[in-house]
Amino acid sequence: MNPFNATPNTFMGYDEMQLAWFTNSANNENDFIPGLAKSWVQNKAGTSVTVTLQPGAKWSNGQPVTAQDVVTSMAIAFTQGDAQAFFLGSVKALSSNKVQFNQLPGQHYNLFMHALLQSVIVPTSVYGSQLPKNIWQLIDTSQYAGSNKAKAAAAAKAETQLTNLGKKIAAFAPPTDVSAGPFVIKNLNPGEAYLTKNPYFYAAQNVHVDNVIFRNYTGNQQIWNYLISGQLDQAPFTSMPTNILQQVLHVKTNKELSTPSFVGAALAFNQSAYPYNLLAVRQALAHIINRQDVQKVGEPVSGSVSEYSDGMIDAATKTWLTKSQINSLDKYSYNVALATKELEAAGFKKQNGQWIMPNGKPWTATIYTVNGFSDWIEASKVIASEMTSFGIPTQPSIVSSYSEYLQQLAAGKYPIGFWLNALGPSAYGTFQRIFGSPDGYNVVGGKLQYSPASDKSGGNWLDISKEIKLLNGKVINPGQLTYALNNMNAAQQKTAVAELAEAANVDLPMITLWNYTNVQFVNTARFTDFPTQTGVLDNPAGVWMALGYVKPVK
Amino acid sequence: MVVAQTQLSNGQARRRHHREPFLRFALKTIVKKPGRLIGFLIIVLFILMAIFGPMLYPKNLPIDPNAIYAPISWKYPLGTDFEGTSNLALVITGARYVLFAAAMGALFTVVFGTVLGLLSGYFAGATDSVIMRITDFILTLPSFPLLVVLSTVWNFGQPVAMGFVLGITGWGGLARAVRSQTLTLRERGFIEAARGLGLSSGHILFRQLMPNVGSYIAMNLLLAVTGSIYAEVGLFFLGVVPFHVNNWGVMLNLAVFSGGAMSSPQALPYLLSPMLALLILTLGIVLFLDAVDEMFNPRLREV
Repeated sequence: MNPFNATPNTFMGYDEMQLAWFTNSANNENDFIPGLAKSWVQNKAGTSVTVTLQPGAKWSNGQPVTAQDVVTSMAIAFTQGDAQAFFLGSVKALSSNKVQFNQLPGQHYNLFMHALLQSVIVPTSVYGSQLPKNIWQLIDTSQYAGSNKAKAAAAAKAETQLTNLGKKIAAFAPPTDVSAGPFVIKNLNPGEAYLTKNPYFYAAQNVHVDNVIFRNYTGNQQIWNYLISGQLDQAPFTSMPTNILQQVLHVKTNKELSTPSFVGAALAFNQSAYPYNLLAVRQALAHIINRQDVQKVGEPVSGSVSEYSDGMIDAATKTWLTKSQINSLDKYSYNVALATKELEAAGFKKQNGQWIMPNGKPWTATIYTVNGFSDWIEASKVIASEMTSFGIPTQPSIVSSYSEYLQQLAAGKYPIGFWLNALGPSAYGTFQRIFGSPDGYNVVGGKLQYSPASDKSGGNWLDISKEIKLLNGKVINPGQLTYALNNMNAAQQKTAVAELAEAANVDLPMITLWNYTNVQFVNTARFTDFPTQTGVLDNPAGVWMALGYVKPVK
Repeated sequence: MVVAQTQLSNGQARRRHHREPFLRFALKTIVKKPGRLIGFLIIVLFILMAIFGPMLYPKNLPIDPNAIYAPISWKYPLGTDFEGTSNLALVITGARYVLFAAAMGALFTVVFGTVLGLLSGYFAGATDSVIMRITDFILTLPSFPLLVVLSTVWNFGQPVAMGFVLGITGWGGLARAVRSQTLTLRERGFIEAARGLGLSSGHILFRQLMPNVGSYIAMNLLLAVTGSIYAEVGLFFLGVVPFHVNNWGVMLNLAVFSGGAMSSPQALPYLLSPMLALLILTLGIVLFLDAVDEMFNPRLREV
């Protein structure tokens, strides 16, 4: 029962708590619902945040949640590399329930408060013993970024020590669950987890549910069966075909709750693999893939066809870009004749119904996807059919597990693969999925580092050109511009987002196929009063219950 | 007394059959009982399907997003799948991989099993000990879990590779049985006579001993085909093999895990189509086994 474990078995919003819960607001990155923090204020520059904890917050063993617990949790966040990601410099306990967070001097990371409010808070009584006494000294040493060689060497050494400590903490297995959330784990086995109400929870009077059972699943199909038999009171987002949706809604008490989702499914190209380094190839493929058909087969229930392949979901495009900017985007509509023209211009030839590449070899392709990801598999089959009919014999290849898929993808083994892009709503989060780590741009020790695709351990599997020429002739480095989004004010961000969207659209490192809709299911047979507003619905059901929603049927 | 009579008639029978070509004799054996004929026809149908099936359809089966899980009709005799492709077309074009891999698997099983069993039984002694220890080792390996593990390292895009792996894990039982048959045969008069005549070991093994275990081998070949089909379809169904080919196992996997055939009647034809194909093929093989036994068993010929 350790949230830092590689396969954590704590449950966010139930027995694992954050300072606050994000409402998924598209235009306000700091719109949060209080969690363990009752309130928070930041200074004008956004570099310092003071958080006040819930006055009655207690752990499930009866001890109060204190500022020291937050400090311990942040020290652990440093060992996991999480705190470095939002440039946390220091954490100070101002009183027993007030904590001050400061950004690294000189940094101005826009999502500082956004990220720190979502940090996991764990009890010092359990995790404190895992940290050495000099942990903060170690963290300070590791943060040195100057040019003094001796200090830099000490920083590197401290960094390694922190990483090793992080591994030790990830492997730590506390015997019982100590929770500050509405529930606490009583029993856990590979099939299910049994949680009971935490009587010490600060808003225990809001929680009307006495216990929660979590069912484990290994594929979407298991969730479908549970839903069809009316066994689930709440189910998170699950891909499903229309025939299953009909079956699910056949159970009268099953209700569908939809909220917008900031995720897109995309077909991504590894540009270090020939011929996908050719722009004409990527564009031609965008023209021969009928996204309407792909969505209809792959994600008919919880998806909508992506209109603009610009790295964002369509709703975000409409918020960020002006009308004229949107009009200048290429929609890459289904147009086989145009695709033929583009390929011929690039030196491709069609012989006996099959395309021959300029290097003289016949063009064949494999699209990689993951076993159990029913939507991706079905979509990949449609795309393979369309490509084959066009004269590029294509096969979908299904990889046995997602972890293996991600590993092989990062190692550059897949020329064409599926990818979740536009993980928003923040602009940085969105473009980071394209021009960030998949393109070899990683933030290490507060600095942006680039690894070329030739460095197989660097995780650069997209190998996007470092310079992309926009329609107005301006040349941008998308990796650097994406990183720079973090330090920009709103007006600067708007310009940068427009440029990045155009770069993603012009250079087409990936084709966005559909935007996901967050479809959840609740069952009103045993419980009523489920929330309806987007901000709450986008959080785990544990948060709903902590806020007073979900009551047993009398 | 009975023995003497049998041997006499056996001799007569053999003389008669030696004049009759094997094919005509085989055909006679098959048509003798309707069950055998049905089995034979089913097997022929599936073999034709594997050879010519993919030629009947375009290399890439057409999809129709407007006919997803279409019900059974004249246009779609077995309904359609999640992208509107005819299930019948999928079953027919998917037969090639399944049958070819199964045939390869059975062939490897029989070749390894027979050769090692004959060598072990005939030479006895140290050869026998070594081969039998290897056989014991192969027999103790849980073959299906082993296949699951192997499939994570190997890509089974080629049916030959799949067949080889199926064969290499499955020959143990056959080798043991052939060895025990050989052990009893090697003490028989005709082998001793062959040895006395100074015939080579190769001749004795493959010309004298093998025909006498022929029926056993032929039956095992067919049983190994069904075993291989189940194993490979099982691997694809579980999704442990990274698949990029169309075959029955893939259909089962997609029907259950992507199409929800277990929970939605609309997708049921997609699941039942490959199952029906498997059922009919197994039935055909079982019915045909009876004929095979008679064809290859010299002791049954005169009956």
